[in-house]
Amino acid sequence: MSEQDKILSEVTSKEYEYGFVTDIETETLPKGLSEDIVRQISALKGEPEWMLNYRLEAYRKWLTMPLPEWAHLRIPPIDFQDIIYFAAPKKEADKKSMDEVDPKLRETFDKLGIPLEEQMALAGVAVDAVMDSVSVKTTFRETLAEKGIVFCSMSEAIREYPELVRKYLGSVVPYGDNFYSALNAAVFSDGSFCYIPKGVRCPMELSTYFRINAAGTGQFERTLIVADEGAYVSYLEGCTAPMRDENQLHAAVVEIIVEKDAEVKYSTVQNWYPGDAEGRGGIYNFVTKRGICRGDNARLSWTQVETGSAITWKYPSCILKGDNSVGEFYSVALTNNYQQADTGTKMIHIGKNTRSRIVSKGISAGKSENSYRGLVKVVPAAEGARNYSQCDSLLIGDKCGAHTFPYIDCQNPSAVVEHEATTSKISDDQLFYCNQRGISTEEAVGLIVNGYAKEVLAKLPMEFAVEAQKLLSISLEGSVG
Amino acid sequence: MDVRKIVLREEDCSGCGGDWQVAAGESVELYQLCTRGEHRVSLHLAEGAHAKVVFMATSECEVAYDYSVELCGEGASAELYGVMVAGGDSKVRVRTEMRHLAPNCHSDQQVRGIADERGYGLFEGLVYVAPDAQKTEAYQQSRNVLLAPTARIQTQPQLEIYADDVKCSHGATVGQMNEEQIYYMRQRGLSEEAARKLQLGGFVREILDRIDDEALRAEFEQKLKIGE
Amino acid sequence: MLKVKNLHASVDGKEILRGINCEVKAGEVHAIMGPNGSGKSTFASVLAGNEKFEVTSGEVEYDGKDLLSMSIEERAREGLFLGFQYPVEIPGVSMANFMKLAVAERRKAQGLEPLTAGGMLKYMREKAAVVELDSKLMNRAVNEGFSGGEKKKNEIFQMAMLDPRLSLLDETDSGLDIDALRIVATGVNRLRSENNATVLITHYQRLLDYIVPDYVHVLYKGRIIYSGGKELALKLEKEGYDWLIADYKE
Repeated sequence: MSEQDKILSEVTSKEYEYGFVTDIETETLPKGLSEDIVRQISALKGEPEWMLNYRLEAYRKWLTMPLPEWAHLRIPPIDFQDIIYFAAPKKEADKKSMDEVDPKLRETFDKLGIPLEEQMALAGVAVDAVMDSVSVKTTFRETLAEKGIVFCSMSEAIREYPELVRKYLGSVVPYGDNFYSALNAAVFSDGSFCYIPKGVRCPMELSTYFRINAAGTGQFERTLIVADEGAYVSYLEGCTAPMRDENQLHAAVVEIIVEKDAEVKYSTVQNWYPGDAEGRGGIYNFVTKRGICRGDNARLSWTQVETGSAITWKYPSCILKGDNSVGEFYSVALTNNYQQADTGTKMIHIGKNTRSRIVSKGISAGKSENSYRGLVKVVPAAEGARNYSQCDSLLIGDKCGAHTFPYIDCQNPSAVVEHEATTSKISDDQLFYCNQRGISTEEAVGLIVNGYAKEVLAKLPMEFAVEAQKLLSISLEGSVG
Repeated sequence: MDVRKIVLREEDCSGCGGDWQVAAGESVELYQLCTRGEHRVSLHLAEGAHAKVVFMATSECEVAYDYSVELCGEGASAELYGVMVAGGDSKVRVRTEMRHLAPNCHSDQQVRGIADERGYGLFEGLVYVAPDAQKTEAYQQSRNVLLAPTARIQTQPQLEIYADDVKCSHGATVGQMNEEQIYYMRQRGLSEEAARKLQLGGFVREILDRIDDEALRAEFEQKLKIGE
Repeated sequence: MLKVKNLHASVDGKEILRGINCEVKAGEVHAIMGPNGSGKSTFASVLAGNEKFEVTSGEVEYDGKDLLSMSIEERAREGLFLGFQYPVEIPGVSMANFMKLAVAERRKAQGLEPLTAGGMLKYMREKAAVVELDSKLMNRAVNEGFSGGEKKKNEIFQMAMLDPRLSLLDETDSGLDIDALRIVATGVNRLRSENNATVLITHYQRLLDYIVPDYVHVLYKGRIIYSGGKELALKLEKEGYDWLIADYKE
């Protein structure tokens, strides 16, 4: 028993692998938030009047909004005036090719294992890498452009595709939606924009990597994805941050619009710095992700593997407005040490015969707290709506907590909503069996956890799935009893 | 073994409830069939104590039940079974809290909800397992049917678990009655109304069968208006 | 290969093994029989290192090493295999993946090169054939949804894969129909060699018709109270245990 505990504690205490700081010059605005800062951000980015006005409205709204407190999280007070809202790697002129990207920066991305260069062609991934606040380089633009696909940084999109941005920005997540979406709308510095025109299947996975580097900096990126009628895109998002003693704030907004017959798959592997074994440092991750299936037969699928962040507050949601539209949410959330996660989804059934499926696998270890929170709402018009939710929790050790808070609100008598939840632990019998076959406890835990999460991992694109599997094992090193 | 029986009926519907201690090894059964007002019932179970609660919540206006069951002593067990029916313009709300505070306790909750016409049924059920309450077994099922387009069901089962060696599960469903069964019964000559009544009877049967006392069970059936 | 001296073990403070002595040499097959609750499965579990049981005294020497000081997986990697009475289900973990890891560890301990992916596949097919196990099962999760017979065959398959020195088969025959029993027994016989040894734990003589033991031991109340040759099993089958255990009844 004690041997297992020891191994478990070793496994769980494995240090964060991506905790390096890149030493490059950054250009930052002073700490704190005011109307003046919002104006400066907008000016630095050379934004048009309408964008500035949008930011200012959001900022004024934000001032009136209370912090959300309903989640099962203990959030230390955040001093919003002690955060730098804009930090950019210092830039000279516009970069023409990869060779012009700061070598230090490229090194950073190499360390992260991001295939930013030629490998990209082989991997067939187009990447928009956002470091701190600014989009560094979007690859594969030309290839995509031939198909009419727009994939660029948000700043560029505001300059070059103002009609599209104006039409869709804030249409799914209005700035007044919640405290953090208002903050994001006021100060977002960059992010990715993606538009897939009618009938186009995006030939490659599109990918964004986010990394927070500068100290004391918040990161507020904004992603907007639009799949026009009959279009298809698979989008990947990865995140890392260096190890720092202080907490850093990350408040992103992702909006997805899926038109008639279109399909969007959005996959995230979130590995922000989770803090150390004593709970010092780590990212506060307050993210609003929401998509709308606007047209009939639209499909939106969220897959997330959440292993990082000190605090995660995140509910990727689907508004199923078109008839026969389908929403999916597949999630693995792993917490260890002092991490806290309150994550889940909302499925809002509005159209007829809309379907949704939720598969959530929580894994709690150490002294962490892990909650699933989900809403399935069926409005009176949603004739024939169907939902199935399966929410499992796995507890590793007796110092952690695992919680399930589903909300079902049904107003249509032809709808069928089903929710099931179970709680389990890795049984001594399973470990013994593996040990007996010569597999160490550490390996066995990794094996069992990956087996437990398999249904979700199987939804990830191949390269991502492999990374996620490794992450799960690493994040758990040291935790079974 | 002696079983202490408590029945809360219409005349108790003044909006009170009560607080009961169930001593070590003691067994208590509590039956409640009130139709208006708010009611709070708390039970505190000592070591090896057992409690069974069977309720029916139905109203022509508003009724709210609030149950708090604390399993304070090792090896205590509790069962909570109930039916909620919201028809007309009524609002029926049931909250349960099953608090496992000691090891080796067992609990089971089964609640059936029916909403018709403009009725609104809300179920909030919590299973809480304290850090040292190892070997807990706690189950909860909320099954509901919506019979009309203007009716509404909300169900919020919740698990809050702080111990690892536990067996806990919950489930919640909202759906409708099986139309093939109705067809079958009608084909054998039953009126649609009779068939539906029979079917609803079957839906809550499992709950009512938990009442051993025949007179009391008849009283429940009569309130539900589903007796044959 | 295995020397057990005065082994005592208990679970939750209750003593189950009360001084077991026995010796198993390479090339031998031993059968351990005895009535229900006599400690047969506990004995196997303790040898495998199951942490549910506490060894309170005694020594076990395995290939000259102190077995009791080794972890469960060290014992396994050194070639000690336990065929479980109730093989455990591990949802979502495929047999193929599971075996890949287990075989790699065993080979490492044997000083062998790891198998290539192709080699592994071939090896797996070959061994599956030994117990007539459908190789499609390799893609399924470990023991999940396996029938009783498949689970037992799967244990012998894994035994074949891991090339053990000492196999402890805990009630491998229980719940098997006669065909499955024959297949399992044939598998075990084919794996017998001069270098390895097998300990069969069983209730019934019937398994011993197929796998002929060199020695039969009767375990009762945590002790080996009688040992003999293969003919002892027949006698037990005919006469039961009463003649043996009469002296030990309280």
